Parts: sequence; structure tokens; C-alpha cells
Amino acid sequence: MFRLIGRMYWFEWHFFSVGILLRSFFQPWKRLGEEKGEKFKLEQWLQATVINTMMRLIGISLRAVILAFSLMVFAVTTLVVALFVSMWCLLPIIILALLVRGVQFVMQ
Amino acid sequence: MNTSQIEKKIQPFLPALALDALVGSPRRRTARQLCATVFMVLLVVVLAGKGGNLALGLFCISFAIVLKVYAVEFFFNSYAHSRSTDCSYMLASMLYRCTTLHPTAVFILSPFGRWTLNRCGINRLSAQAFLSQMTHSAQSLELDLSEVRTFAQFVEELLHVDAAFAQFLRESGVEKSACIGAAEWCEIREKARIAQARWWSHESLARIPGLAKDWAYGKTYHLDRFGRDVIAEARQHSALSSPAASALSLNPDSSFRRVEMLAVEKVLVRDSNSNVLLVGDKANGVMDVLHGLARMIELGTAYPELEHKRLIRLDTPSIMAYAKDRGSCEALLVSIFNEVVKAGNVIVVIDEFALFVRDAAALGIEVQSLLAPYLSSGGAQLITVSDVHAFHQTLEPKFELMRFFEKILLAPIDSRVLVELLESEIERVERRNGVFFTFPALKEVVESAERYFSQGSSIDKAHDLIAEIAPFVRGQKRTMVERADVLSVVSTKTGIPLGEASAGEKDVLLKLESILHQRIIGQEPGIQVISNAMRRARSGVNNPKRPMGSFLFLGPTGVGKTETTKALAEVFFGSEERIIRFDMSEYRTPDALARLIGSASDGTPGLLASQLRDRQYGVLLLDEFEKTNPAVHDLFLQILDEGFFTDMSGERVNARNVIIIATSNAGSDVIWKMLADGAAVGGTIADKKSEIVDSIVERAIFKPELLNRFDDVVLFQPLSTSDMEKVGRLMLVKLNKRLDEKGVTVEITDELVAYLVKEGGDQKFGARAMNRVIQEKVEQVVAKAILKGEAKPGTVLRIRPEEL
Repeated sequence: MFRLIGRMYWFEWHFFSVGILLRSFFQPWKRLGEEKGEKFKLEQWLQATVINTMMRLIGISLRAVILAFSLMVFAVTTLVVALFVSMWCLLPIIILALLVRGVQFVMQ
Repeated sequence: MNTSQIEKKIQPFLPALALDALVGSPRRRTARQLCATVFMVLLVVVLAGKGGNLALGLFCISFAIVLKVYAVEFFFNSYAHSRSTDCSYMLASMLYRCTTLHPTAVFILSPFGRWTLNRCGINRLSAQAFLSQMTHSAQSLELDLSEVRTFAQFVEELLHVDAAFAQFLRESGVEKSACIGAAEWCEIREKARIAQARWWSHESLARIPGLAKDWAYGKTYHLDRFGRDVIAEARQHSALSSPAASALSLNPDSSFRRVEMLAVEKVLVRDSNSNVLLVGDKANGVMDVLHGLARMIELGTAYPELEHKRLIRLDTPSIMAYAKDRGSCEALLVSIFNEVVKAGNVIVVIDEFALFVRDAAALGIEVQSLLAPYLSSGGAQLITVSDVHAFHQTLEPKFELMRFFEKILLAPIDSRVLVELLESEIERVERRNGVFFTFPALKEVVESAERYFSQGSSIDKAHDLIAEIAPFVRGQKRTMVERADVLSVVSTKTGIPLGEASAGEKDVLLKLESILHQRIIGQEPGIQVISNAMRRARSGVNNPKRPMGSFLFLGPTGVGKTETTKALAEVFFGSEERIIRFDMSEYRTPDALARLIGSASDGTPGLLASQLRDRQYGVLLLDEFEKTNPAVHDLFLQILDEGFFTDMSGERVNARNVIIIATSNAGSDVIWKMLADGAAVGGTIADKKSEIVDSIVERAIFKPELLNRFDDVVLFQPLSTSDMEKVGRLMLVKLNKRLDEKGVTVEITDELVAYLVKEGGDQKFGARAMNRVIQEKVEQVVAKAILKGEAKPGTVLRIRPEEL
């Protein structure tokens, strides 16, 4: 069971590409950007700087959205797992309780 | 029975086995489905607020039961899928029952055993009949389970110790190896079924593509337009395969090109020269290497350096067609490779690399100059593919380009791997055609593809055969494809008689000597060896990796060497047309070898190669073999030994289904000398064979290794006077056959035969001189009689010697 739970976390990590998103958090989105050119030209330099900064910002915000969403899913998963593990531990009692309650309802 | 060994092996699975014994899997599945249905119905009723307390009570009870049933299944799975290295659950379930039942009975009655026997072509009734007659007790079987870890190994051990069961299989026409092969197939299929059902396994989950993986890498507009993702191709390939193959393909460990896959992986992670050239035919599994590698990257089992890499197959023919001229083509290729460098996670695959190099050269583009900046800097990585012929012809001479690549040769596929590959694909063919292949049939497909069809890859040949066999069996209103069906289809395609010989054929084979003697006078040793060779070949006891037979007929001219070959072709192969005849005196010049196997320089196909491809079954007659070029002798060293050779294009030519007969007059002078010395007058020269052969070797006419390669060197004796008389009579019979359509017959009298022997019976020229006498004398008389109107239809001409 714990192997299965571990695999669920691994899958979420893999599905939301958490590792690579964290490693490339500040990189421009899809490596898009402008070349600054070999010779310095103020206009070209400014243009490239603005575009590259924008691309980095787009990258950061998109990655942040995905990471935030993945964090939410991780939290939900943890809740479900906790519920599931508790249910598994209490399963004999739950089954017994359901049977008793069921019989009581039928008898009423 | 070694019960302690069994207990030790099944220990990790014991709770699951006990549960399975109490309530079997099918019953549990039915119970689960039933409970779930009742639960869902009650849930709907309760949610609808109907039924009152009764519905609520039943809902609670059904919920408790559903929880219990699923918990039991969960419990079962946690033990059944135990990671024991000593035993699989499939084997454990067999061994568990062996503690109380006879192991053979357990095997026959188990679903896996039934499936295995079905795949062997043994039906349930005959297996049960054997079971009911089985008298030996379980105690008498000494199963050694120490090395048994799989179901197939269990079957092997069972067949080893249970002689009665092995005998039953033999009597049913199933070899031990076939039964073990079928058991392995059953095991692979079961593993695949489990892998497919386990959607929660690492392998299944890893196939779901992750989000935003490509955000860290550059966009590749041009590459995406002219490229195709190999991972997507691999997924599509699995989807088109059978469920078993698809499930197996999830696991790259099961790939049959694993060695090459790992070799490619190692080259790709190098710091420099990390480009690969895969040399091998596409049909031989080149794409499987790439698909397997793509799966390894997807699963995260490849080296970390390859994580998130995309394998993109570049459609170079489309680029060439789109760009049209040099400038635009070069610009497009540069854009693509610039994108590759910028993206940082692309490995470009170019299949048919040699064709790309040639096409680019035709447009005036030097591929080496174009790729050098990218490859030397390590900015772009390439996996290129080429077939062997194109590699040698186009790529190998380009040293400057080749230095960037590590060459990886694809090993030939052995028959065992090919059988496994077909096993995983056959279910799709079975579903489509409504047939069922037995394991011996599948094995025969692989063996026949290799043995009787020389051109093309083994996989393609096997697929082609399967595609023909399935409709053939369905057309006969049957469903089970047996070995005989495979042989029947192969026989129809090749003209080679296969399978069990018919009664007539058996009769001919058993009386082959006497039938040949109706046409050949004397020469007992020659007749004997070829008759024996034909019987060996037809009964399947000869070596399948050599020609059906190979003989060197030595002897003076006109003693029946070629005639024996013709008689064999007519009697056994049905017609003298089955002879592929080469007068080797025509092949004494230095270009002889090129004329026989073809020339790579001008692409001319070889005569020997073409003839053997067109008529792969019959007699290959090499007249006057001693007169040919020594290089041709060397070629035959391989043909006689291996039964094949390679033509100018690197394609194999099969000579395993022909009987090779080389004739030679070499050593005739020695034979005559021996006869003159009285060594073998009126008797046999067979005792002097070694002396004659030694003299041939001493005079360097044939190399000793060449003589050794023949199955036998047969000495043909000069004809005696009585032999000459018999030959004379046979020749006159032949003449009469020719005259049949004119309605004229020549009476065969003793005096006419005596005349023939006197005039044409020269021992030095053998029967040929007699043939000349018939032509020049007898036929002249007949011709004149016909022209004069003396020989009308129905006339029997009595020719006196004085008329000749």
C-alpha cells in the first residue's frame, strides 16, 4: 500500500514536471528571446532587454501557476491518502458498524 | 516430491494461494461485479430518497460487503504480486497444488497447462485420456525444483522426470522443446496480461506525458514541420500491436534489440562524438532500437543526461522535395539545425542517411560541410540509420563525415528471438483471421522463412508467410494452424516437397537406385550416394545448414556422370529442367567470379546468383569443374560448407535446397594407367580412389580443402563391353521414342547393337562415340527410308550392319 502511495506522489511529480519547472524557474518561456547583437546598439540592446525580461516574466508566471496547482493537488492527495490509510486501519470496525447499522435500519 | 522445496518457494504467496484455493479468481470477479451493481442500485435508491429505512439498511449492508470484497482483492494482490525472485505467482499456484496432486495432472488440469497444450496442438480430450491412463504415482517423480523459477522451467523439469508424459507428447508429434517453448509463450502472455491490468504500475503511469516539460526548451517550428516524434511513433506502434505486445512494449527490458539500444544510449551521453550511425536493415528492427530508446527516456530509465530529450525523426525526402534547389534546401536545413541547437533537448534521427547524403549531393550540397559545425561543437546530436549496402557504397568512403559518428551494427536476429517476437504479434493475426497458431507451426514459420527464402529480412519473410498461412487455413474451414499447414504453404510457394512424403514419393525414394539404373548402366557407387543423399534430404535428417548433397563425380568422358545427374533430375525432381547447368570451362577467365556472383562496380547481377534465386530447388550441375578459375573454387568452398553465398549487393543466395554435382575428367589419365597396368580391369577402381584423389591434389587441380567439402568424391568407371551393349540398347530405345511421332520404329537386334559397340565402343570416349555412330549411321538410314517413302507410319525398320 505504501509503495502505491509513493507511486502516486511520484506520478504527480512527473505529471506536473515539478523538477524541471523548479530547475528552469527563472528561464525565458520556451527559450524565446532576442539577440543583443555583436556590436552595441542602444536601441537594439533596450529592445532585447525588454523582450527577454518579458519572456522571463511570462516563464516565471506560467511556471508559478503550474507549481501552485501541483501544490494543491499534492495537498489533496495527502488528505485522500490520510483518509484512505485511516479507513484501511479502521476497516474492520467500519464494516462491522455498517453491518450493524444496516440490520438496525432493516429491523426498524 | 520434494515438499520442503515447494514450501520454501511458495512461502511468499501462501495467503494468496490459500485464498485462490478457497475462492478462485473468476468467482471473486463475479462476486465483485455483482456486489458493485447491487451497491450502485441501492445508492441511487437512497439518494432518490425512496425505500425508507429498508433501502438505507440494505445500502449499509451492501456497502459493508463491497468494502469487504474489495479489501480481500487488495489483500490478494498484495501477496500475489510479491516481488519474489525465486518464483512467480503463476508457478507458485502450480506448485501449491502439487503438494496434494500429481504434478503432471496439475499441469494438464491448470488453465496455463491447458493453454500450453493447446498451443502444442493437443486438445483437451486427448490430454484427459492420457490423464485417465496415467498409472504412476506422484511419489515416483523426483522433481528437482532448486533451479526452477519460471513456469517454463517447471514444464522442462516435468518433462525430464515424467517419461510417460514426454512419450505422450512425442506420440502426439510434439517435441519437448516445442512444449517448453509453448510454456514460455504462455508465461510471457500472462505477464503481459498482468502488466496491462496494472494501470497503477510505474511503467503505465510513466507513459502519461507530463505537463509543461518543453517550457524549458526552445521551440522548433521548422523541425516540427518536417519531423516526427519517435516517442509518438512508439506509442502508435504499441497501439497497433496486440494487447500482449502492447503491454510488453511498455517494458524496454523485453525489447529484442536491447543490446543495441544500450549501445546507442552510451554513445549519446558521451562528451564528444556523441552521434550514432546504426547500420542494419529497417526490417531487422532498426526502428525497434529507436522506439525502445524513446521508451527508456519516457520511463526515466535512461541515463540522466537523456532526461527530457526528444527523439525527432527528420523527414529528409520531404525536405528535398519541398526545397527543390540548393539554396533553399541549404537554408532550410541550416534553420532546422539552428533550432535544434537552440532547443537544447532534441536528438535528430535521420533514417536512410545514405540516401539523404546522395540526394543532397545531387543538389550540390556537401552534407559533411553542412553538419560539421553542429556536430563538432556538440550543439546537435544525430542518430542516423543506413542499410549495410548503402553504408558501404555511400557512407564508408566519406571519412570526414564518418569521424563524427560511432557505428553500431545490428546483429542478425536469431530464430529464438524471432519466435518470441512473432508470439507477441500473432494474437492480432489470430483475431483478424479467426485462426489459432500452434507453437510448432510458429516455429516452423521462422525456420522455413530462414531456410527456404533467402531474400529479405527474417522478420519480413516470417510476416509474409503468416499473412498467407492464416487465410489458407481459414479457406479450408479450419481454425487450428498446424506445422503441416506451414509446410504446405511453403511447398506451394517454393516448389520444394515438404512435410510427410506421399506414398508414391516414398516408393520412388526407396527404389531410387533401381529406377536410376533403368537409365544408367553400371556406376553403382554414384547411384548409391545420390540415392542416399535424396533419402536423407527428404526425410529431414540431413544438415539443414548445408546443401542437400554435394558430390564430385570423377571419371573419363562418356561414362555417365552427366547422364546420372539428368536421370536424377527426371526421376526425383520431375524434369531435366530442374538442372541448373554451368559449363565451368566457360568460367576460366579472371572475371569468372564476377560473372557468377555479380559485379558491384557496374551492378550486373551474377548468373549463379540469379539462377539459384529463380530455381532454388533442384540440381546444380557444374560440368568440367576442374577447368574453372581458382577464385570460383574458393567460392564453392563456402557454398559446399554453408549452403549459401553473398552476391555483389551483399544479399544472401541460398543453395541449401539443391544437390550440387560437380563433374570432372581430372585423374582420367591415372585411371587409364591403372587399367592399363591391370589394376582394375573388369573389376572396380574404387579401391584405388585414394591414389587417384592424391594424384589430383598433387597436380594442384583441386585443393584438398575443396575435395574435403564435398559429401563424397565418386569415381565413375570406364564402361566394359557388356556395359557398352546395354548403353547401345538404351540409346536405340531413346531413338525409337524420338521416332514415335513419325510412327517408325527401328528394330533393336543383337547384330545392330554389336555393330554400335564395334564402331562406337571406344573406351576412351565412352558412350559418346556410340551416340555419334547412331547419329551418323542409323539415323541416316532411317532418314533416307522416310524420304524414299519406304518407312511409312507403322513400319518397323530392321537395319543390317552392312546397310550402315
